[in-house]
Amino acid sequence: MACCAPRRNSNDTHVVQDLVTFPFTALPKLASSIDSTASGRYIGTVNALVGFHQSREDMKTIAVGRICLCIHEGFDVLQCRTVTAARFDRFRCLRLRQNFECGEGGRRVRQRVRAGPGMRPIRWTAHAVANLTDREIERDEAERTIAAPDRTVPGHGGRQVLLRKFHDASWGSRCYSVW
Amino acid sequence: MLLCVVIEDQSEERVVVTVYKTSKLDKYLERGAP
Repeated sequence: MACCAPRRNSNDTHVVQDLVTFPFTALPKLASSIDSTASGRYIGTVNALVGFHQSREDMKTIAVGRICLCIHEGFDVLQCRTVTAARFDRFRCLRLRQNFECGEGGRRVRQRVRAGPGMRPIRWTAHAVANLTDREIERDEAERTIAAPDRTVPGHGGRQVLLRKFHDASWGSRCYSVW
Repeated sequence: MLLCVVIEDQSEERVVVTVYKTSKLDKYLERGAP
C-alpha cells in the first residue's frame, strides 16, 4: 500500500486524494464491486475512506465505503469483507473526528484528530431513500458518489449535484461512459 | 451512465435530497464546472 502527499486546504484540513492502493490480488471477492485500474490495483481515495480503528498495535481495520479491510502495519491486507450497516455507521462516526495523513516516505497512514468542514454528517431524506428503491440504485453506489464525485455541478436553490460515472448492469455496457 | 446525488449543504450536516441516474451526459457536461 502506498500513499501520496497530503494537501492542505484553506482551513488547514488535510485533503488527500489517491491515498491508498491495494494489490488487486488482495481483493479477489470484491473485484467486481470496486473500481480497479488496468494495472490491477484498487485505488482508494481518502474521501471514500470512511474511517479506521486500531484493532491491535500492529493492525488497523479501515473502511473504504462499505468495504472493510484489516491491514497489518506492513500493509499486508489480512482480511477483506463488506461491513454491515451498523458497522458502517460506526466507521462513519469515527470519520467525523478523524482525518488521515501520510508519514515519512509515504508509507504510513496515521490518525490525525482534526475535524474539517467536509466532515459533516450526511442525512438521507425519506424521499432520497425511496428513490434508491424506486430507481433501482444501490445505496453503496450513491454513497461512493457522495464521498468521491467525478464532478459537481450547481443545482437549484443552492443545491449541489454530485455526479459519478458508473456501470448500470440493467442497461448493459453501452451505457458506460468515459470522459 | 451517470449517478446523480442532489445535496443540500447545511451548517451542521449534508442532506441528500434525491438520487437518480441518467444517460444524458451532454446535459451535465455542459453545466459541469472544470
